[in-house]
Amino acid sequence: MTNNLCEPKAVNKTGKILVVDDMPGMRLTLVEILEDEGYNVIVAEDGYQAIAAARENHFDIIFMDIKMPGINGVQALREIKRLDPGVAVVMMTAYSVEELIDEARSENILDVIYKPFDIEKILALVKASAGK
Amino acid sequence: MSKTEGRNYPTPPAEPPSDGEMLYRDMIELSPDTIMAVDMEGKVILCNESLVGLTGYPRSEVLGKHFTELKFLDGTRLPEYAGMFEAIMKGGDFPPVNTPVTRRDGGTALLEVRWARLQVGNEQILQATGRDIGEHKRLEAELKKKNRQLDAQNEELTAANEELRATEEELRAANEELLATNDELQETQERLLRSEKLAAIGQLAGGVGHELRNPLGAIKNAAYYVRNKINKSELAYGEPKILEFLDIIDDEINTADKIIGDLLGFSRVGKPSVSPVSIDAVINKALAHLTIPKNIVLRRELAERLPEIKADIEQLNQVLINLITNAIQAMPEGGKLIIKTFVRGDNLVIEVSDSGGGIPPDNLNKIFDPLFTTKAKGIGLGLAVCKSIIERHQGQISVNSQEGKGTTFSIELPRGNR
Repeated sequence: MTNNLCEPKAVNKTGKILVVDDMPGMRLTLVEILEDEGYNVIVAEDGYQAIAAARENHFDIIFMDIKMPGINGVQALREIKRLDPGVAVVMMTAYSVEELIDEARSENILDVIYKPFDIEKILALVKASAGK
Repeated sequence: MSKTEGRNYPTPPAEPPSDGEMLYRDMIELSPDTIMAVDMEGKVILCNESLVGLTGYPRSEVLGKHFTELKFLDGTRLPEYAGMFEAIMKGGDFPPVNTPVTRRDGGTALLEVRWARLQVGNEQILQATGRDIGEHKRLEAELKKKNRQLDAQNEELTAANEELRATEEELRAANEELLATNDELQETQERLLRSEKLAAIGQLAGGVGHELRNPLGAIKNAAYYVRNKINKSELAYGEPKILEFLDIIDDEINTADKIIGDLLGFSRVGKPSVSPVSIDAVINKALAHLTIPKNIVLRRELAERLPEIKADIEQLNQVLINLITNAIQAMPEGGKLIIKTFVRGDNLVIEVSDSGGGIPPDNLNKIFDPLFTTKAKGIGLGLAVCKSIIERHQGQISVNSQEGKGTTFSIELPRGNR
């Protein structure tokens, strides 16, 4: 954060975010952007890690990829919702796996976003959930 | 009568008969016709074997009798015969007379009798030669009966012939129907093959498209991050090209995403999930998705009170977006975009017209083929998707284009699809 020409937008943000994605490129860029916005971001590479993280933390918002090796995003979502029913979850997908998306929607999620997405939309969702 | 009483002709000759007489007798006896001779008083003086055989009366009951006493003659007609006898004796001619005969056994026969006057010495005798025409009559009747049967058979044949002709007509009609059905089947088969080909392309395209969206997402995020950093650094001023290049990256990501969207849209053209849809709503939704450039004038000519149809709103929306996007791209220098709806027969028609450069005739029949494109950045699936969707709605899509004047795409959807 050196050489900034203007003040970072949200240095004081305290929201805690979980990013779950098996694709390193997607995971790293998303984490970096969110951290850059001042959020506290925890990363999980698959559904198991995500459940483990949710067991120990309450997240203001979780970004969860749907298609992952091992248990898929919807299965992880169910488990996490069991642990923390009120948690806001945004499902991410590059696929139109309609059945899984429908299943996810029935689990009281915040939204489904399709890759490649506009970061602005992600930030708006974060702001709505974590910035309250 | 008394003059000839007791006489039998031929009188037994005192001398043996001559050869000529013997021959004459034989001829008389052997004749198949009945032969009888009466003298001038009307008494029978001769009869042959055929007469005996036909009537069943022995010669003793015939010879020497006056012809009016003959038992085989019809009594009611005797006056007629008597009159005839008189007339012939006086030298008159008589045509053959049909004479019914009653046999001794009660049976009947019909003889055609010819009379002839003969001179024997000083006396005249009449010879009656009878030919049994009962058989002839029977044959005639049989012939008539056969004729009637033939007529009836002929009528039957004519009727059968008529029936055959009608059947032939029916067969011809059925054949024509079969030919038409065959044509339809061929068309359906071609359409099936086409849709199978499309499905295979779609499956491949869908798979590839999905896989590309992950890396594309990461690139987009990375570009966003880099732009953010540049914006906050001196590089934003010192190296303005960096931001320009980031714009290029963003644009190309969007283009790539659009191509993938087309591919996925193409692969996703499945069975329409239908619900009652207002065409106006579909058009408005599509227009809301798009930005109409300022140099293009949009005119809506939407028919009022169009009935709702049963359709997949998302799929129809995609069709409209594709057609309107094409229309806009056909008018880079600006022009008129007309969206028109109306009812034609049992169909609802949606027309999207542009006033662009038109489509060369050579390309017109290829534009709905998948992977055919004239655009530098297109992959040629937009119109193929449109066609596929409209056909799945039992509709038709067609194009009318004049080079230099513009193009009209026309969608017809059955109103019965409600």
